[in-house]
Amino acid sequence: MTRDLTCSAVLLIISVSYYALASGIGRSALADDVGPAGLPILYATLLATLALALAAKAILRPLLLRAADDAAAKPAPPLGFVLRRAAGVFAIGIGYLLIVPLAGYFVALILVIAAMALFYGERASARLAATAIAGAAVFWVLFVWLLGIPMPSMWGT
Amino acid sequence: MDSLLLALTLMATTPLIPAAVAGVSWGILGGALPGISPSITMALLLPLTYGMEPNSAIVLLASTYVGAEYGGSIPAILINTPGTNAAAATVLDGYAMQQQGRGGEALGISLYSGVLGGLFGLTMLIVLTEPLARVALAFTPMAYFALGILGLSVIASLSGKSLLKGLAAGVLGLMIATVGSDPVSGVPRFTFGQPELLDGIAPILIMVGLFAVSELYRQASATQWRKTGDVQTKIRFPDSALRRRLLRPQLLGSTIGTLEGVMPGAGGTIASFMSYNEARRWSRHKEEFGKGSPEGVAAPETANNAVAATALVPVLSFGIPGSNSAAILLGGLLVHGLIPGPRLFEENGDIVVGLYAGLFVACVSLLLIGMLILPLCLWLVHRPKAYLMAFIYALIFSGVYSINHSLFDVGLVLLAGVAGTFMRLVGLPFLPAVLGVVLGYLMESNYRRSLVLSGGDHGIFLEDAISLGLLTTAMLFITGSLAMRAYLFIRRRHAPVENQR
Repeated sequence: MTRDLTCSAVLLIISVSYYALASGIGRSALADDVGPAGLPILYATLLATLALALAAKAILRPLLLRAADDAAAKPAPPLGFVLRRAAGVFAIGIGYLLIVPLAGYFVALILVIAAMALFYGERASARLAATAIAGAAVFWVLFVWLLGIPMPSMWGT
Repeated sequence: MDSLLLALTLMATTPLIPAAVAGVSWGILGGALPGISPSITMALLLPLTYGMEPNSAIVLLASTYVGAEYGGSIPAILINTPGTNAAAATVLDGYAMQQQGRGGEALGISLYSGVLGGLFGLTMLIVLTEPLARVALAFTPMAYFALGILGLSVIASLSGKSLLKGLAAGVLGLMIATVGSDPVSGVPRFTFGQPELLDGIAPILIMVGLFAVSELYRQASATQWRKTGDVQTKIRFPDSALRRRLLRPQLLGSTIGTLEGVMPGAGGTIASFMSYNEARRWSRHKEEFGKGSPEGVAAPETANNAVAATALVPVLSFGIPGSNSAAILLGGLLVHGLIPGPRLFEENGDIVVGLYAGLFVACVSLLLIGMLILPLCLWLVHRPKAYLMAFIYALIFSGVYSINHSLFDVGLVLLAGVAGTFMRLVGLPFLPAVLGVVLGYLMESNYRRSLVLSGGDHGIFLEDAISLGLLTTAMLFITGSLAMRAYLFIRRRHAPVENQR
C-alpha cells in the first residue's frame, strides 16, 4: 500500500507541475484550434486522474480482497542501501560528464571503467589499470577510428 | 523465370554477394551498439557507395539496414539495452531468458526468427509490391492517428499486474513525447530554454536510460551474480518441438511486420510491440510472457525483420522514405541517377532484381554471421561482473554521445536511469512508457493535422475507412483486455484466501 501511495503522490506532483508548465506555453499565430498546450493539458489531467485512482485503489484494496498479496514480495536489500549504491553509479556518470570536456574521451573512459570496476568490488591492481586502458582503446578504435564519431578531445581541442 | 536468371547472372557478374555480406556485418555491428541507429550505420557507408556500381551500392545499403534491424536484439537480450527502437519489445522476455541462464537459447530464437521474418518480408516485397504500395498511398493523417491509438491499445496487455500503473506509465511516455517544438506551430514546449530539447527527446535515449542505466543502478546493490559455469555460453537454435510452438508468433510477427512496413513512418517499433501483444493473446503459455517466453522473443524479432524488407515498398514504388534509414536508401538510389517510382521497375529492372537477390543473400548471411559472432557476444557478457558493468557504462556513454554528438544527451540518459529506478521501486512498467514516447509525436501531429483538414470536426476519424477500421480494432483490443482483467479479478476474489497469497 505504501508503495502505491508513494507512486500516486509522485505522479500527482508530476501532473500538477506539468499542468502548470503547459498552461504557460505561448500561443502562436500559426496555432490550430487544439493549440500547443491542448494535448499536454489533457495528459496532465489524465495522469492526475490515474494518480488519484491509484491512491483510492491502494486504500480500498485491503477491503476488496480478503488478503493482501504484498506479503508475497521477494526479499530485497534495504532501500537505503539500494539508493546509496544507485547514487554511486549515478555519481560516476556525472563525474564522466564533468571530466570528458577537460580530459577528452579516451582518458575519461579509462577513468570511468576503472571507477566502475572498483565500485563493483574489483580491487585496485595493475590488471584493472591494464583492462581499463585496453577497454578504452577498443572503444576508441570502434567509435572514433571505425565509425568516425568526433568524440570530445582533451581541453576541447 | 527471367527474373531468376537475371538475379543469378547479377550474382555471378557483379560483387553483389560481397556487398550483401559486408552490409549485413556492418549493420549488425551498428545495430548492436546502443545509440548507433540503423540510419547512422547506413549514413556512414553512403560516401563509400559513390564510386560503386549501382547494384552493389544499393545492395550494400539495404543489407546494412537488414543487419542493423537484427543487431538491435543482441544487446536487448544480453544486457537489457535495446540497440534500436524496434528491439525494445524483445527486452522483456529476451533479457529474462538471459537472467535465467538461457541467453544462448534467446539469441538462437531471435536469429532464427529474424531470418524467417526477413525472408517472409522479402517474399512479400517481391510478390505484393504493387498492392502493398496502394495501401501505403491510402494512409491519411487520420489513419496515422488511428494507427497510434492501435499501438497504444496494447498498453493494457503490457501493464503487468496493475492496469492503472500501466496507463500512468503510458501517459508519462506521451508527456515526454511533447517535449520540443510543437508539431503544428513550432512553439517550444517544456524545453526550459535548452536548444538541445527543441528537436524533442529521442526515444532511444529514454529506452537506454530506463532499461540499461537503471539496471546498472539496480545491479550495484544486487547481492547475487551467476557464475559462468551455470549459464549457456553457446547459441542454441530451437528444436523441432519449439519450432512448432514458435510458428504461430512468427506468423503473427510476419503478417503485422509486413503491413506496418509498408506504411511510411510506422516503422518496426509499433510492429514489434503489436506482434508481442498478439503473440501473447494467442499463446497457450500466456503466463510465461514477461518471464522468459521464447514466443515473446520470436514474435517481435520476426516482425521487425519483416519490416526491414517491406519498408522498401514505399521507397521503391513512390520514393516516399518512411524512416531515416529509408531516406538514406533513397539518397543512395538518387546518387546513382535512379528515380524511384513505377518507372524504376520498367527502366531499371536489373537494379530492382539485383536488390531482391542481394536482400536474399543478406538474409542467408545474417544466419551465418550471427552463428559466428553470437558465441563471442555471449562469452563477453559472462565476464566478471565488475568489468562487465564498467564496459556497459562505457558503451552507453559512447553510443549515446554518437547520436547527436552531445553530452547533454548523456546527461538525459543518466536522468532517465534515475526515473527508471523510481519506476522499478514503485512498480511502474517500462514498456507502456516506451510506447508512449515512440507514438506520442506521431499521434499528436496527425491528430492535429486531421482536425485542421476537417475544420475541427472529430467525425473525420470515422469517415476515413482505414482510420475507422484501425480504431475499431483498437477498441476491440482494449475491450478484450479489460474483460480478461475483470474476469481474472472476479475469479481471484472468489478464490480461497490461500490462493490470493
